Amino acid sequence: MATETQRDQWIGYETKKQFWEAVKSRYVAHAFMFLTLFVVLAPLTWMFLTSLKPNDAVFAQTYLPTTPFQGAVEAYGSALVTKGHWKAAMNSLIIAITSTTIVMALGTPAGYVFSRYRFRFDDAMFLLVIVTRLFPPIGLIIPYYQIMAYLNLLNTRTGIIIAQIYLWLPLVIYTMRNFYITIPTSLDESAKVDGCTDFQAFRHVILPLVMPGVAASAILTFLFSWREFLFAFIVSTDLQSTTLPVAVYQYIGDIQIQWASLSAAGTMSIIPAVLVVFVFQKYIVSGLTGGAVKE
Amino acid sequence: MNDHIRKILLGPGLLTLFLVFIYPVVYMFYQSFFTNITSGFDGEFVGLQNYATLFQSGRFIGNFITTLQYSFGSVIFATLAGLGIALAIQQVESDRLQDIYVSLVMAAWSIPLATAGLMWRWILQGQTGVLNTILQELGLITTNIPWLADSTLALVAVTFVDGWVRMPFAMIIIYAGLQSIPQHMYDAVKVDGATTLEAFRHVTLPYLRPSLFVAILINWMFAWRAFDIVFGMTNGGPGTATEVLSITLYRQGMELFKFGYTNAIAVVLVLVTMVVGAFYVKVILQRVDEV
Repeated sequence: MATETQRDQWIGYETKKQFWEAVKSRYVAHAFMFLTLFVVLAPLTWMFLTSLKPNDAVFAQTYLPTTPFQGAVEAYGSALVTKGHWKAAMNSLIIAITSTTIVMALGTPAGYVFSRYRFRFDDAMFLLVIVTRLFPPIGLIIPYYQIMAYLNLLNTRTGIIIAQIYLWLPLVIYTMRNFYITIPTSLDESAKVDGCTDFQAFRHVILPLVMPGVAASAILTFLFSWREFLFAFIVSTDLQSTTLPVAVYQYIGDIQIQWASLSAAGTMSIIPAVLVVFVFQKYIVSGLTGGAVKE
Repeated sequence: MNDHIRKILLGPGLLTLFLVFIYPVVYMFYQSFFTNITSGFDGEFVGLQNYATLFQSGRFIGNFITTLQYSFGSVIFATLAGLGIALAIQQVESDRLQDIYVSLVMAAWSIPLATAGLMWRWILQGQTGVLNTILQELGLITTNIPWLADSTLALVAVTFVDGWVRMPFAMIIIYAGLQSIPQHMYDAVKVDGATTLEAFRHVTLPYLRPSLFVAILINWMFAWRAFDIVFGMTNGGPGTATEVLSITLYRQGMELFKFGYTNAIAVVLVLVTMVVGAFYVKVILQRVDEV
């Protein structure tokens, strides 16, 4: 420390201090955030702008669409009707809601047991949950493809939902456990002293208290499920069952990529996710941090 | 009674997890020791032959190195950007504005990764991409840069976009970590006459260490196995310049149907992840004991 202080004196302590005060000022913070937001939002904006242009006008050197209304009708019309992506949008919604419901119904009680009870192999079982969460899903595409083929579930929504249960159930068990841990066990105990059974203590005392955690986990699961690409793509490429992110990718196979329609489909796959983030930001942050670290 | 509640509340969840996870995993390991299994268990046992083929293949080694470059590059970018943004947001006085900034940054995180890949592919197009148009109009370049057609540039581009989508998660974890630092620690070092930089080094960084650890480890594990971004942007090309292991796995398995060989790749990918994941698990289990 002594040498550092000496060095500070040589450089000029006050100058240095003033410099760092300036860096810390909120004007610098705002300027930095505007730059960040440009890098974050410009690509999304560009895709949206492209979706408002007719397909043969996307290569013209104009940034803003000249005929936004006509362009939108053409691009979204082509994506939704001609390509039939309204079906993919429906599938996405059905798959995300069903997966979220199943995963929450299984994971919410399971997380409670892990947060409260010690029993034989409890650490081993909990380890299974964490390992499942950390396991690279890409490694399972061949086995999944073969099992789904065997069960006749290729090109079905059920096939995608089963894969999604594998993907998100461990996340929910783990995240919910972390939410339960923040609720003192003395509450369970006093409920039981008052005559509640174990079930009643869980159902009537703890579950209502952990509802913000349930909401956070459910919103996260819905978002993850909506974004999922790999398994939806492996299990199904058929519009009767596949999801929106996979449908967007199908433009790539065309000889001439129709960027306006692709952007329209892409925008449709983005808008619900972005809206969910804006409305439920607090829950998503608490779910993400709860799923990553204990508190 | 205790036995009862455990079985009813935990049983269905664990049983489901077991069915949808353990069986495919065992099947994956099993297949890696056999010639192509097309259905059931019809392959021929070849021992470690698939693994031998793998490690004798220059292409596999090359793709392994590409994956290391991609995942480390992505994590370094995501962590530094996430840290910078989290610190900047914390300097903003109004809570409302902080929330708005967080939400807007999170917009990049919420979109489907495959869509993000395609979106960037459109922006980085060599002839008609908007990035080249902008750079030309600013007078920074005179001829279009083939972002995704040049081997080196393509790898840099996919790595950047991967970091771009992972940055918000790092930001959230670090931002949460920042808020757990007690203000009196800053007051204390201020009394000692510490500059902002010294306060950052002696208070912020030590407190942030667990958050940084989690952000780096989780983002790295996900970048190591990343598929959607590269698949959308370049599908491993040009040639094999951006062929990360997940793309190799997809090509060998779903396009060339070399199931045994593909599952050997999968096992290698899994083992590397699990070695790194063990550090994460160790930290988590330590915390379980503290409960």
